[in-house]
Amino acid sequence: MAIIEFKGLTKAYKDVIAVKDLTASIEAGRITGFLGPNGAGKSTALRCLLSLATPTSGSALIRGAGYAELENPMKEVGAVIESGGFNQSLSGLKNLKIIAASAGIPDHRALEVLELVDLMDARNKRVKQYSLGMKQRLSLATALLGEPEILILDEPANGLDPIGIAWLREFLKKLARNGHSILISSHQLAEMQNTVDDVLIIHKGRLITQGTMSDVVGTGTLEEAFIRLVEATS
Amino acid sequence: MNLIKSEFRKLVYPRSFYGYLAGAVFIALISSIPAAFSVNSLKSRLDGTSLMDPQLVAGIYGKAISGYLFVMILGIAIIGNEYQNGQAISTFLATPKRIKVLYAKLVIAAGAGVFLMVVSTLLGFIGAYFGLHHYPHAKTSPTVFLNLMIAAIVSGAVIAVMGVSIGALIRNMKIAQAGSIIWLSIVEKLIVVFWASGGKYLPSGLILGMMNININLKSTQKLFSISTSDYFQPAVCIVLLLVYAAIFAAVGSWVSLRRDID
Repeated sequence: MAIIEFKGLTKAYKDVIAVKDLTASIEAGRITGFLGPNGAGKSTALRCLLSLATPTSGSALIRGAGYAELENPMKEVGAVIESGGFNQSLSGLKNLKIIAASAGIPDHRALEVLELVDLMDARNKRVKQYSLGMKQRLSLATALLGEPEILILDEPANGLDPIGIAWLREFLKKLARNGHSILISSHQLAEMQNTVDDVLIIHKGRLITQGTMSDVVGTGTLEEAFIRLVEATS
Repeated sequence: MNLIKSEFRKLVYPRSFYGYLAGAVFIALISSIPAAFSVNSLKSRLDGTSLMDPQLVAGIYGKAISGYLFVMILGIAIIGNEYQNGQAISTFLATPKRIKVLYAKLVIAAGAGVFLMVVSTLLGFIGAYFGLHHYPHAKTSPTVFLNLMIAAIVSGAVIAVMGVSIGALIRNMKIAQAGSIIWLSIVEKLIVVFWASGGKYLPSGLILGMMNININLKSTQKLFSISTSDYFQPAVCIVLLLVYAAIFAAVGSWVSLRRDID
């Protein structure tokens, strides 16, 4: 069953077309990698999906509705768009309490998610004192505040060290085992091959291919398949 | 109520809010207390006017309302911080119906503006009182206090709403704040002092009008006074300020609803 759908999504900024007629669907209960080179249009498509940007045409739907039409978005969808979305002068805990309040989530949930992402000891530190990895984990904590079934993560491994990447991989696998549906964008292909079930690749704003990891990769690696597909469409 | 709670936390958690409050109090005090001393020392040059004139005394108390500059800066910061820190993403992910977020911000900004203005004006008034209490003849009407507090409440709410709207229009918070400071503290003041027929329509002129203080001094002495003889009646000023707030809020909302979040 498709839980996320892009239907002819196009997004243009003045003369630049960031996403062109993207049609794809994401299945429930799986980890789907949303892959493409830098500037392929992944983030733009995700911003349209999360109602942060308005599509020029087409639509991006979650359970058949636009994100802005969801009854309580944070309790249905958790999203990580970038690690900088916090007030740097406030502690991680205070940042989470602000976000929790806006969705009617009780304050104690902020402590629970900080525990989940191993940030309990740093909860009262200012965010500007956090490392990049800690900020990424705080973003994940934000996404988990509403205990959503669907997670949409835009480059969550960006800037993480190998230990951070390993932590993230295990964390996502644990979430998937618990029945979460996860859409994760990345250009770190080797890492994605170890993490995701399904693959959706875009290049220059257009869909190149979509399928299970084994369908797309065949006998080689994801990186080989990716380069072959991208070069074929360049 | 959830959004109001969230926006309230965004307001009071950062230390900057207390900085804006301190700034408003400071500017109210340095405007009112020295005025009490300087006007009395200048009485020989005031064309016979002195602290015997209740309207001039009222004018000194009127200086206590000067803190609205910091209310404007606060209003801009309330929305400017969203874009500056990238907080807008988490805000609009939690509440994608942006108009609700903007309404909550306007409510919180108006409340914070009133709070800043009431506290700073009250302390400025007390400062002026202590500045004047050496001069037993410096008496004024009790309605001055009432007018001043009404002006503080209305201007606090309106200026803060204008600040939020300006912050929504101009994404660079520092430019928005610097531009507003220059406009309010220099450009508007000059217009209000030297071109009353035009100045009376500006927020500063309307705030002066609300205080209902009438002093007639020679033009060379106007810098030392507040005179509303050329301005609208207080009720008209309140209505016009609320119209300003409504227009700014509408424009700010329109822009916010149409903007993509980077």
